[in-house]
Amino acid sequence: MLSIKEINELIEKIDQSSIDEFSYESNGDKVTLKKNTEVHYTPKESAPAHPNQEIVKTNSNQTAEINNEEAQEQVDTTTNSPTYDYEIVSPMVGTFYSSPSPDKPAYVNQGDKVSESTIVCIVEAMKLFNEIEAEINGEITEVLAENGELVEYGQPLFRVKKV
Amino acid sequence: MKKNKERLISLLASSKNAYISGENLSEELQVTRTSIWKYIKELKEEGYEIEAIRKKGYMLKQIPLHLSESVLKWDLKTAFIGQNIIYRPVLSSTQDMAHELARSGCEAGTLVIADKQTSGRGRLNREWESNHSGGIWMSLVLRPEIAPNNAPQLTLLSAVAVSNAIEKLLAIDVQIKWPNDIFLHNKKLAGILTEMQAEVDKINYLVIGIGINVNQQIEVFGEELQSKVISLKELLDQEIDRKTFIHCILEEFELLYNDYLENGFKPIQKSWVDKAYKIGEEISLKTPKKNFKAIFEGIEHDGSLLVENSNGDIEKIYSAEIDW
Repeated sequence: MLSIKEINELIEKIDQSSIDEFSYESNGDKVTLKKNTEVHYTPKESAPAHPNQEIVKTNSNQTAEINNEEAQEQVDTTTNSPTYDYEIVSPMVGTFYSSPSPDKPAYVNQGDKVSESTIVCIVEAMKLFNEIEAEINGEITEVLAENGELVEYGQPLFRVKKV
Repeated sequence: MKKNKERLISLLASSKNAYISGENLSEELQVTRTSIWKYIKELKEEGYEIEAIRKKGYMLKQIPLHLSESVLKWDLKTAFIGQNIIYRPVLSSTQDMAHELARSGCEAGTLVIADKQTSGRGRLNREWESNHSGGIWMSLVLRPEIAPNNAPQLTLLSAVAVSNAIEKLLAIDVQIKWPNDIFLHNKKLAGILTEMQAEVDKINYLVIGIGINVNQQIEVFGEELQSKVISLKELLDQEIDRKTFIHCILEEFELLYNDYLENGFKPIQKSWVDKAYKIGEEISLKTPKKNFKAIFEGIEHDGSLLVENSNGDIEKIYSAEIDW
């Protein structure tokens, strides 16, 4: 993986060169540098982007396009300390429920350890209640959806760091 | 052991109003006549009325009215829905037991049924009053090879299956309140709760819980429910044979389910809309984003609700609290 220093050097080099676009890929992490493009996040698949999305790095094929001027800030949050390496996504459109019923505590919270079969939430559509399992052993580093929120197919719900 | 008893019931049942000798029975089942005598004794204890006459043999007079696994299995004309039945007089929740069985790998079509549930539940663990006998409380395990995103269609399919069974058996027209409650005279007759274990691209299993108010008196329900629910007995002023009713539902379900797997949701959608409660009328919706009133227009091909809002726009609703 590239360090921030290396990326900064790259940006400088590319800035001064005639190269318009530069991509680097390693272990599923991908950094693309482009001249004169705006910063935006574009998932390759048609899954709708999460509003709070600022991922440059995931274990899927997502690409972040980084403007050479704003690259540092973006890269900072990601390559420096990868806080997760797996995202639990919603298998369907529906309402996200963090607990089995309103008066019960949440299935999981940030910092909780989960195993593959741990139920992390429910997604409900048309009164069909889908219990979502973690499918990975790890620790929840971030809860991305709010109780009662409408989530889309493929939308990331939790971030997990493998243990 | 169990198999033999089931075969014995079907042998007795197949020779209507005629005696079968113990000798014939023991030959057919390849067991001793003493064993036949023991099985008959057990069946009588389970409530079967069997007449035994010396030198003539045995005749089945009446199968028990109360439920049991053998009663439920007997004469069930399905290929797999309900062919594996687990019956218990009392369970905390058929849904919970079905989940357990499904997790430990039970076959698709497995049915869990109870006379009473001590903690029957509806959605989001809301209480489902079923700690009294007379109703039908059952949960069906399925493992369809469809995209998890399409699974909600099976909730609507279940509602159509239950409605069809009621119409066929009792000639009563019922309505379906989107997506899954069965209504009669503006009161709740049955509820369906579908729960699923799925990954992004694969359904591990689905449990469809069906609760129907059948032979209860309305007084058994809590006071606040009494004005909102209805039972078939209240309506028809007669007891319904639950076994026949359950068979009718399972057979109807299998028919629709096979049709769905082969031809998709379209045929189900049409039947559903024909029975839709308050279609064309104004309803109040509460979604995480907003509360609004809209006209209930119909359902989309994926089973979601279509409403026309006050701006004249059609909105697609997957999830909402609805005030009907």
